[in-house]
Amino acid sequence: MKKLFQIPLGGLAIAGLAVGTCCAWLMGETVRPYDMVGVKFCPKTANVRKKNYEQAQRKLDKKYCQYEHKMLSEVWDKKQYEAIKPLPENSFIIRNIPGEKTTYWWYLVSIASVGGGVLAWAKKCEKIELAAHYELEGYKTQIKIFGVNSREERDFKTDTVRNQWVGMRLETGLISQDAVNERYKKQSEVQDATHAAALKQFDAGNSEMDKTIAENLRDAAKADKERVKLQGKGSASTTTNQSNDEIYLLQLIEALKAHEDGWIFDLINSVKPIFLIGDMGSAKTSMAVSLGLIREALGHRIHRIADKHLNGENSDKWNLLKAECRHDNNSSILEALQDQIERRGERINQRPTSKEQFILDEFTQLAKISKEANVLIPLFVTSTYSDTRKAKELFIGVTHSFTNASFGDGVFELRQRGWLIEKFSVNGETPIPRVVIRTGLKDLNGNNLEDVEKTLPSWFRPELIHGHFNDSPISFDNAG
Amino acid sequence: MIDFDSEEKEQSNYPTEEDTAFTNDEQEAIKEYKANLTKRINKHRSILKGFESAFWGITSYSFARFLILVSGSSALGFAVASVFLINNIVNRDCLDAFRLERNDAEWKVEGMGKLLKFVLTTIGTAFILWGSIGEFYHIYNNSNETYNNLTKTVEEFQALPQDDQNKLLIFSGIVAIAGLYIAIDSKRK
Repeated sequence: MKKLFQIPLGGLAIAGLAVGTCCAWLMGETVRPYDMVGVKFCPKTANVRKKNYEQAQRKLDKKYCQYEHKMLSEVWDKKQYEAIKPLPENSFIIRNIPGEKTTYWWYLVSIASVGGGVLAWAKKCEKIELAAHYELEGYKTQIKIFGVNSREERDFKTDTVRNQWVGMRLETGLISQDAVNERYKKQSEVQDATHAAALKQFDAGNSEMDKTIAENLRDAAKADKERVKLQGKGSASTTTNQSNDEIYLLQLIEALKAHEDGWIFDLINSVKPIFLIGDMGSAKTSMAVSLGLIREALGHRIHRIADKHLNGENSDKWNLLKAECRHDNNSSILEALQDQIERRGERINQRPTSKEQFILDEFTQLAKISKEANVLIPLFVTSTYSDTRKAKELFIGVTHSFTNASFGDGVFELRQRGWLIEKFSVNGETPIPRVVIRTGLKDLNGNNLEDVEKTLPSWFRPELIHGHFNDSPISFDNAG
Repeated sequence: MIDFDSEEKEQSNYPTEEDTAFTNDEQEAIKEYKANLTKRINKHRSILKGFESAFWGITSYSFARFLILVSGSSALGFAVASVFLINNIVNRDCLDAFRLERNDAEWKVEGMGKLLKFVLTTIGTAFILWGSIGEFYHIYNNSNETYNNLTKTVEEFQALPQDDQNKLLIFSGIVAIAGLYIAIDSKRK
């Protein structure tokens, strides 16, 4: 669509240049552009009280006070200021000649005006270049249209003239009607043959492409076959490894079942949340990691571990676990707890078949971090006791104490539903095998057992269990 | 967009595609048409270059005048610097293009034309500079001279007249000789 009003860019550019030039050379100039001073040196005669006073003064005036010396006022002021012995201004008649300073803005106007002119002309150039492109393409289109039209016209006229001459030859008896028909028939046959040949060419092209596709598919299949063959060789060793792992796992399970009525095996297989409590140095984290490792070997992947000291003193233990998510600071841990609550809801809806683990250490102080944490922890504990079984989550929590400060108010009843295992140390540094299962164990009639004394086997340490599955199997016969 | 300017040909990153088939006559006509368009575009571009030169010239002049009128002699140095700086910025490609290399004991010069252009524009700049601040500079120098002359006049006025100074000198000489004679004579006795 053509614009109704187009800015005359060329005119603007020339006007800008003209105005700018005028401003710079005519408008900016004045008769008195600078501040000047006119000074006359008119000394007074010393013969004040003498008879020849007037004559002496006239003589002095004639000699000195006749001419006015003009100079820049800034030079006069500066020199007077800088001089060690300034000129005595009482002996001078000083006349200020101010400059006409209001015109200097025209110089800035001139810069802006010419600059505007340049921009206008640059825009004009840009428009012309764009228009030239369209013009050239339009010209090509016109040429093509006229060319096609002319060629078609030529062909049409040629055919017409030729047919006319055929008619003339028929009329004059130079050729017969049969000959004409025969000629048309041959022409038609040639056209049909050309058409058939063209179709065959297309078919040949298609079949060539089909052939190429088939060859490519064959090559791909061959490559796949070779790959499978190579993988088959490698899988033999994998299968051996797998069978070894299974043997080690079976040995471990047997050892667990054999230890004190197999309470650790029951603990590992239980879907109820496990809370480990105890003093400092009672190897709570070691037990949590050991349980995690065995569950991992049983096929329950570790989704998340959270510990403020994840990268600190316990890092060598935590690194044995192949966790998908790791959280090592308070803010990250709190976010993880919030996320885990939501994840449990999602997993319950999805009805997953495989179980996953969440191990949370240093649970004790979390509720005291902030107001938000104080609200979040009871929610998390409630969710842990009510949702983990349905969400197929195996939860292990480690804490120093089992108080309301750690777990939040109103969750005491819930705590009875999970495992609560207390560990001990002799001097705050050396852990002992003794454990007391505060809650979680049941008798054959399904009644809850409380405060049951148990022990851990001496090999129940994360580094040994990890080594058991990595070429350093535990000798359960020798171990206690 | 078609590259109408054939001065700098660079390897294009865009795929090249042949245009629709044209007869030789048509191609000839298209080439001629394109040449006319290019000519028109180049004419406008050269005018733009002229506009730009005028712009920088007027900017140099006006800016220098503005500085002098607003700040007086304290802006003299800045005005000169700004004018030459503008000249350098505008013609920086000229200096960049100039190369002088010694290759196998033979001096090789490149971009001499552009260097010449730079020299000419610098001369032009000098004229612009003189036009903008020359008058002021002249007045400034005259003012200094006038003040110095006035200082001399005042000093002359405050000194004794020349013949009085001569008389005083002769009198002092006579007194000194007389004193010397008396001193020598008294020693002899």
